[in-house]
Amino acid sequence: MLLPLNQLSPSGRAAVYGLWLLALACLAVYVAAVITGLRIFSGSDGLQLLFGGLFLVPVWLCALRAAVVRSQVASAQREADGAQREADGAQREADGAQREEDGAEREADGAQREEDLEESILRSAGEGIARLDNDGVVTFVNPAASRMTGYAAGDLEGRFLHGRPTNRREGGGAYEDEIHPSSNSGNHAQDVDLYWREDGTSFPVEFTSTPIIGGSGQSQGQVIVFKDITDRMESERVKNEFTSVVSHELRTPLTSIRGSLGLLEGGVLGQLPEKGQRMIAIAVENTDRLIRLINDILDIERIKSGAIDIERGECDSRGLSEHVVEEMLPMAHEANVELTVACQQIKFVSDADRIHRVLTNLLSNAIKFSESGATVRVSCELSQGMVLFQVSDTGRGIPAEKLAAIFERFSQVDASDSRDKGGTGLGLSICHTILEHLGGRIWVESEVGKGSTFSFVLPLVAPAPKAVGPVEHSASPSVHSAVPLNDGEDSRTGDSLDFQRSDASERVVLVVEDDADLAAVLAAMLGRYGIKTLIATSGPEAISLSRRVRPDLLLLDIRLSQGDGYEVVEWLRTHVSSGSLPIIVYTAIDLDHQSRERLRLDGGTTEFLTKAQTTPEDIEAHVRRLLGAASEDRVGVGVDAS
Amino acid sequence: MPHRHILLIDDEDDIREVASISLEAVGEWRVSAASGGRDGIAQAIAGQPEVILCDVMMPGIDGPATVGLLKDDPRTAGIPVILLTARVQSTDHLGFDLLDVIGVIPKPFDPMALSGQVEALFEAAQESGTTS
Repeated sequence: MLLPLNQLSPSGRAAVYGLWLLALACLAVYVAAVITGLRIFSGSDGLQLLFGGLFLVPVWLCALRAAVVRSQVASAQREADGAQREADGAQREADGAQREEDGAEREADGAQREEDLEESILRSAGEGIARLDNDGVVTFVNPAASRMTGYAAGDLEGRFLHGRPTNRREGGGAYEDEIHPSSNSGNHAQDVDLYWREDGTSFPVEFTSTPIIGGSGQSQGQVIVFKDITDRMESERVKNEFTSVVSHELRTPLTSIRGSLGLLEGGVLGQLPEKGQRMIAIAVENTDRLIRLINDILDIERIKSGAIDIERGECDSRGLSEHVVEEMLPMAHEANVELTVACQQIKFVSDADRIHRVLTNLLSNAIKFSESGATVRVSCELSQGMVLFQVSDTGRGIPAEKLAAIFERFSQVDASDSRDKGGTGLGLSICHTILEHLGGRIWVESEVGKGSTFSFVLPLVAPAPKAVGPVEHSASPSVHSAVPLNDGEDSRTGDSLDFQRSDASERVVLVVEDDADLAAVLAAMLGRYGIKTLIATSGPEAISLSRRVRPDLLLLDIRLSQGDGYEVVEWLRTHVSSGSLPIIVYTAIDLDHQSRERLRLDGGTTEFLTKAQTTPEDIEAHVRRLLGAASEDRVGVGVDAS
Repeated sequence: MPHRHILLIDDEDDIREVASISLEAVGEWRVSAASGGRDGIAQAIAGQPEVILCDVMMPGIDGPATVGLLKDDPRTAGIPVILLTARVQSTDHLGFDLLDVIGVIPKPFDPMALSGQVEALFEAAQESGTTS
């Protein structure tokens, strides 16, 4: 086999070139000889051929030789190359091994560095960090957690962070051993609580708990990150105290001033001359304005600081609107403004007094800024799962550049408004603040010269107000419809329960909801249909009640102040002896398929309703439908006594 | 018809004077006034008013403490008490719910309306049987 020349070694190539030169030289001699021969032996073709053939022998010999040499050289070259490749391969192998070794070293170094970094982060973190297992037992704490609680790291491990010894209820009573609320729900949770130090003193904390989900999707515990909020609470306390003192100190002299002026204006102390009456009227008007201003400022501060509680109850959108409109009629008549109401009746859970305040402020503004003869419309409807209220006027409108700031304090479209219209510039800010606390929001659409529409939306269930410190539990579960609740296993009561249904057709719904206000609202609603309601505010309470009273339906929240909805369903799965118990899961958590499956009893119906997107009427309808369907299964159903 | 008797307890002289004139002139109440809790309790025992209007923030024995002492004493326990306070607003009576009072009137009050407010609370309490 012939190799291309460029693949031969330099010496091989020289030999080949030499032979080829020799062959060319022979060819040249042959050509010269042929020419000479033709001249000598012209006309003789046979001699020419013979002569030429004789000359060709050395040429072809040379060419053959060149090919042989070339082949030999190529073979030697191949051999040499093979050896070289082998050597290179061995080198590469050696390099690879070295690289692997280096890689392993680098990996080990990297892991070590990462570990060091993680450790240094945990060590230097200002917030307490603890890892709990699925039973709520501490398996790790960082130095900040130890420092805050006063426990050495080793002393906390193996104990309950949200149980004894670090956490007791306000007043020192111990929690029952409990799993933290977020442990099974698979969700990130944030809350405030009271932690207890080793020396028995307590401190308020704000904490975040995040579940640790393993590769199989199962919870492997949770990470609690907490910080001491003593300073924040103290500053809030001072601020509240200041607000209270200012409120008192400003109002006390105003009480005397307003009272004196009121008596003069009312003619109780005799009639004043006309000019005197006019002066007194001005003084009264401005005193009232000052009082409104102080009240509004204090209101904003108090609502923001949480000093005013949000009291939730059942609200009726139409009833609220009509009530406010009725109250504003005198003002509207005075301004010659017509008020109209077009409201859908929606039942929802919120603070009626605060919504009343918002509607009053909006309606008052709308009347103030409407021309005589104009109409102000109040409407409400269900929109995208929320209650939408709108107050529309045909007044002067708000310039676009003022719209963004309209809900800020002391924001007036025109600086003279507070003087001319008697407003404080705080009304819309108060509306904004109130609605924020009720889980809603407010906005405005306006066109100069054509009017404005103020709209606000509220969730169907207002969020529960946050409070520092654990949710207090009553010694016995709450109950409606006079159902006795002594727990045979509960040492606090000692008596056994002897629950009797007053008649066989009586339906009992167990409401498991740690939001006491919401539970009460649900109970009141269901009570209207003759449905008895038992309320449990925790998982253990729900289980305790289910031992003694077999409910016909379970209305279940997942995240509870103690335990969670999963443990209730788990208990029922193993203790409900026959038949199936319909369950309505009523929760704010988005549940994945796996979580939903955990909430189904064998052969039972579980329906899922989303809090804040489901009207109380919807819940009523679901409960009644499911109770109707379940009534046929009632006979022979019982609960194991175990 | 004899005028009904009301006891006003407030540490502020000016407010006592204004409220007294208001109650007497507008509501035709017979008004006794005390400048503090201790004096108020003594006057309540001696005078047996039909209703007591008591300020909340006072030096010494404050309003809630005065109410507690009045309710603990069988001689005054049945007299209905209304709190008069600059600490709260009309829609915000939280914190007083646990006190045994028939109502709360916020300061500043309208002197022409004060008597009517007192009467309304007094009558509502009588109807519901809160008072003795």
